[in-house]
Amino acid sequence: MAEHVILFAGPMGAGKTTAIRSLSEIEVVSTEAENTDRETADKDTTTVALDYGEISLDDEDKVRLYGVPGQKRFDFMWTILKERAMGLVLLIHNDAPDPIGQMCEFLEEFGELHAKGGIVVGVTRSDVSHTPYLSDYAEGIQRVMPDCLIPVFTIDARNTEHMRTCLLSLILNIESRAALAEMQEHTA
Amino acid sequence: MVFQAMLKPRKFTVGFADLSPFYQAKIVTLVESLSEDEGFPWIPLGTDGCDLLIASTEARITPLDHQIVARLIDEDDDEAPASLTLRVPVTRLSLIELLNRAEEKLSASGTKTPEARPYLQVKRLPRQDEAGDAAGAATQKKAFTALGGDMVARPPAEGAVPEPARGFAGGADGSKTNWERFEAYDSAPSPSTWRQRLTDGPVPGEGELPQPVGGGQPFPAPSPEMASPAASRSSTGKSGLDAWSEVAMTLYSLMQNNAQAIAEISIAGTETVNIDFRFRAYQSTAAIEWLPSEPMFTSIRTVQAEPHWPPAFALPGKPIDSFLWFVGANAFRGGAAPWLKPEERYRLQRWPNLTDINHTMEDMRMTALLGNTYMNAVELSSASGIKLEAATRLVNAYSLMGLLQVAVQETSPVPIPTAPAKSKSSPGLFSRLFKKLGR
Repeated sequence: MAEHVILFAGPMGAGKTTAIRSLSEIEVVSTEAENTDRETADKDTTTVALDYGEISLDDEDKVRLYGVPGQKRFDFMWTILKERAMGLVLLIHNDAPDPIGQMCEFLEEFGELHAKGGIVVGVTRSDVSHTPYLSDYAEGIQRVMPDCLIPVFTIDARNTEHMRTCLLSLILNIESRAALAEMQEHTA
Repeated sequence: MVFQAMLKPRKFTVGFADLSPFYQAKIVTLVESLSEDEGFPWIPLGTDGCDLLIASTEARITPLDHQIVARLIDEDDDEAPASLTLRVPVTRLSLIELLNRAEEKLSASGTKTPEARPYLQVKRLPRQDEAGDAAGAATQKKAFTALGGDMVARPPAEGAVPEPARGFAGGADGSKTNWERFEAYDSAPSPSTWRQRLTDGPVPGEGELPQPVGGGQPFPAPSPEMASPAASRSSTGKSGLDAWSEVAMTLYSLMQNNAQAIAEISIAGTETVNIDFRFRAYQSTAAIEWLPSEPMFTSIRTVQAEPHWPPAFALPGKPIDSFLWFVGANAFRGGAAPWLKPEERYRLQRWPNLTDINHTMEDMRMTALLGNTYMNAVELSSASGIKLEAATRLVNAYSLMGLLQVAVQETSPVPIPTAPAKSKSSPGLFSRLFKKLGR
């Protein structure tokens, strides 16, 4: 049975749980608790361990969607999940005080997934705050991960179409890189 | 100089909003005939930054601080008290009455001086060189020729090209019209160079153009400020270019120059797209899906925006990339954009925002390939198994959007897969996922 694990990471309130709900075929398994950090994100509950959703490809094959908790104190979960993941959807909300800085922090933490598979950045709430622009995110990525081209999209985590675009482009990017690497091996 | 400026008689400008070309031409002609009298303060201005806007009764207008609006009303319409109106049929007398009242209002309102208020600078006129438009073109050209140096209320920018070199005055002394002056001033390759290249192949002297630097996209040379081609008609046009191609070339020029400009594109005389490059946004009278892929004609006008100007429309507007994608994908009839060169390969320097642009899965597949290696359109088509025309359109569009970096083709090309990409580690996951999720 093949396992394809995709992580959804990002700061608290970026829309990870919602994004998984938009994609998952099963009811999302969430481990939420009352949010005691109202300054960071004004919502009732927050994920404390992980969210889980899945998309079945056939009887055996599944794409597993894991949402990792946004708070740094749960970073032990990040390590566990990173080992199994082939790709990362990093969600950042554009109206955060320093969204580029937040993205960079998460890329430093999860950047190894780019080499292992791929990363896509989804910028949420760009309708609330129009800046920074996507080109600013691209510049931020170049600072922390030079020579890595990571797709950045504006998304609404509630929008299934947006989330499909995110997921499909992540997978396609992984496959394209693998195919090109394979070709280069052959010609070397 | 200050003393002279203080003595200079105040000039007022009149423009139009949502008025039929017939009435525009009629009013412009009358204003021009009146302006032959010394001291007549009114000048027609073909943009919406003027002092007096004459608009149809239906037009919904939010005037700028310095502006007043007059309505063109029908013969039997009631005139609202205290409002400025111009009744049809428009006569010399009724126009003089309106302009006098407007002048009084503007003077009384203590609006900003012309030097201080926002202005729109018409860089280039829509060229209506089709035989059927000859009369209209003559009228319009004459009208814009009337833009004297006095009325261009433009504070000289530091380091700007000296005013006389790009003045818009002319006509009375037999000097060149605006259009001709622009051509004369435009030392950079004009769109006509591209047109010639597109239709006749490389043009003489092309090798003298600066070559692309570093990883940036190629651009023949910076234009003086903005090179704005004029109106173009589709395949029947003299230029041989379709309507979107002309628009694409102007937009490409603006993008490459990082121009802080505002552009107004008229499509087939029915729809209008306004772009404010400062905010990377556009606004359209019709949803982008409803814009014609092969319009009969388009025209584009551009103005250099000053930093203090308000946005050209209510922000946020729509992201500019989605319009550039539309134009790039529909221009050049599936052939390569004229600024692309056969010896070049392209790679994404950043991904497009796929949630903004109307893409297909084929586009996404090609995008992923371009994100990971340098390719030209032929190689991209071969690697993705997608038609060359689709690959060419994608390269055109991404190039217009400024997403590509360029490498001159190596003798020994990078290895390119010749079949649709498949992953070694997880074969066909995309295909299966796509089949599952669909679109």
